[in-house]
Amino acid sequence: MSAPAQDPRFSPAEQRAIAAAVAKLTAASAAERQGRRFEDDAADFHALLRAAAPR
Amino acid sequence: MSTPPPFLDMTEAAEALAARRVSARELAALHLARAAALNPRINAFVAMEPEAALAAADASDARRSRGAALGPLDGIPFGYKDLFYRAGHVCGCGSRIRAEWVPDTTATVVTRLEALGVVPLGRLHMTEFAAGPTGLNEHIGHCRNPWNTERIPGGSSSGSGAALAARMVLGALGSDTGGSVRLPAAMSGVCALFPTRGRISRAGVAPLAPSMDTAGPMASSVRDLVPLFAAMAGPDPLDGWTAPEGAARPLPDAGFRGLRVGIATNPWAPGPSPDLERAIAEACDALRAEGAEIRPIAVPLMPEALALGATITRAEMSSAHARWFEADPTAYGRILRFRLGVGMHVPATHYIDAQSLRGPVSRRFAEEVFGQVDVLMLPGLGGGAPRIADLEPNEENIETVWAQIGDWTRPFNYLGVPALSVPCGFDADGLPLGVQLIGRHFDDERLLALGLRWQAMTDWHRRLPPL
Repeated sequence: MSAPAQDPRFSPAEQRAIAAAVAKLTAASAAERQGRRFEDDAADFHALLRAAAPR
Repeated sequence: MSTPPPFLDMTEAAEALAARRVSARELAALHLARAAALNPRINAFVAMEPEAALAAADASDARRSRGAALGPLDGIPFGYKDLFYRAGHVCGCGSRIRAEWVPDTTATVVTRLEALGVVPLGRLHMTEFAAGPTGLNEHIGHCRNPWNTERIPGGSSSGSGAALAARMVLGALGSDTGGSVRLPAAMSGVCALFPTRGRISRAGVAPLAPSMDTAGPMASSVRDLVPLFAAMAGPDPLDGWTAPEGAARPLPDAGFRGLRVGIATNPWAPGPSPDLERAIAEACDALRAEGAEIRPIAVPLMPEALALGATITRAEMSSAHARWFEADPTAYGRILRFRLGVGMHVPATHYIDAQSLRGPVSRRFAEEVFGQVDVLMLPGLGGGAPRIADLEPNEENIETVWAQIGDWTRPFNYLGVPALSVPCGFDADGLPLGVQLIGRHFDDERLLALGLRWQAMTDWHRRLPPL
């Protein structure tokens, strides 16, 4: 992964803002991933929808 | 001050067409004239198509004359958010990159609606590539709220909400990746259905974040949404996410008696404002009087759904735009450039984890919520539409003010449950207020039935902006 601060497609100000946003987003995502224990039942989202569908 | 619209909603117009009190051509001409008169102030239409509209209206009149009318949608003035493909028509996606792009395919939902006789008047405004909740757009100009043109109309289906509020059209298509049919509905005082994932095809709809995108009907009233949803829903071999069981079913005989309505005790987004709190309290009183049981509930898993959903949306939108972005990163507006930059740096492991958790999180949400209540009634956003002047597009606002606009709606894109957005009152500034009713997966029809009951008790949806 390239660090946002090294991404030449963005201006220095954009790079700083992107880096801050990525840090915030990945921290939140990581916290949600690790803060709870979800059953590891290998069910995917589509399977859930299929199960909920009327027959 | 413009002349009043001839009909308040599609159903009224359909009755008039069926009774031959108006022809489809007259109706199209009235709405084209109304749109032409109001659009300079609202900017809801990107482009109107008067010749094609009148030709479609004439075809509708011809069908009706020979006793072959196609149903309640036949002859109805309609609008498409400018990301639904129609072969041979420009589809600009609110962007500079696709401003003149002409697809060679047609979206499945467009095909289905036109097979039932809708009369498209043109292409409707949207946020650039549907990435944003405001209706602000630095390429094609801002769309403005018909209730107060200093306010945003909500987005990203900004033109759909504004054109309906101004009765430029009587039905519209929108898409929703984080609230994009529900937010303009709430801010512009109209109605929208965000369907269960898999019930409406997205084939031929420009993608933003494919696993979060939905297409949805928008209209002035819930009774108008019913035939639109029936026309649009159902499996489509061109969209592998559509469910074989997705076709519309008859509405259940659902009323509020005995219904358990959940009200959130744990707001996870700004608001509700005092005016919206009062409107929701009054709605609760009205529902209690109809026999509903109002149950305060701590809605689980909202921070999780927000964080995991944002991870997916950012990564998928950056993937979808990678090729164009590499070719010319300056072709994007400031806000979308920033958002794409964030998505390009989301770790793949986070994205995969967010997807793998989607089933378990959604199941747990459904079990915990719908074990206690039948539906949730939540704010559509924290209050009335924000001021355009308060939403200066910059990297600071995008992570605070802009992001929070959709915090009441975004979790449900991750979870895939349906939501119906309906007006519930007005604030002290005269701006519409809206709530969303959240139901179980595949409970779209019950939400529509409850919406019908709600609008039989209220007249918020019949009020018109002071244009």
